[in-house]
Amino acid sequence: MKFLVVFLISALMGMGVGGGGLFVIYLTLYLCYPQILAQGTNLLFFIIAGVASLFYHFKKRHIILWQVVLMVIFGSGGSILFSKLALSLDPKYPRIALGILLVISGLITLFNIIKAKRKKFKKTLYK
Amino acid sequence: MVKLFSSHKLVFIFVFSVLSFLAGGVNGFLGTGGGIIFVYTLSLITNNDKKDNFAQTLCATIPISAITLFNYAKAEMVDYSLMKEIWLPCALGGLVGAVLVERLKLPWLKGIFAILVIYSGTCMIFR
Repeated sequence: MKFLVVFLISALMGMGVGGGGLFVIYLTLYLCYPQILAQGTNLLFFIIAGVASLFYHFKKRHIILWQVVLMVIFGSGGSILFSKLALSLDPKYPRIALGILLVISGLITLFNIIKAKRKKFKKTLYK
Repeated sequence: MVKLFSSHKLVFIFVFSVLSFLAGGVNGFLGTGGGIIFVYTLSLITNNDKKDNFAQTLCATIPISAITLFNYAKAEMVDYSLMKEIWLPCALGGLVGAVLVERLKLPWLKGIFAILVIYSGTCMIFR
């Protein structure tokens, strides 16, 4: 069962539907991991699944290297600062912040789907 | 869509760097979620193709996640024993997802994922 769940979550991640958040949800809500341990374990999960899917994406996609370098340099700065903050705070704060991020990202995804469906419907109406 | 700052390189680099720092911060604080911000940043301020944005985000978030993982590992907040069990379905899923995204169009999958994520996010906020 764990094998299947992990396979599905990492497949979703590879498809760009989203996966990192799902794995944290799986660890905290179903396997009852403490929040910070779940976040740390999720990072390792993401790296393994990401490297595997990157082999394929790298061949097929056009990647602008200077943008990636900027993203890594400044992103690393942010990640070092905020990971130290997360490790020093009460775990309920990262948990609530993650919950809020998940709700917002889910709502944005739903909104974009509804917008796309309405556009398609209007196109077929005026055909 | 109008691309902001396209003719002002320095302003573009500044905004891009700030947003990358924030995305890295989210990655560090939550152990996930930096990718969402990177994808939105790239689609908002560059003219890159959507799928290229995803691949580029993956390229950037893997090293950033590795740096964040180092901080979490120092605080002993990574479950290596779980990853030893599930690294194979994790890697396979990532690869399969990357291959499938080129071959399948599954708009309903995003909808199901969005609803699942909203529900889970709400559980995390009020747990």
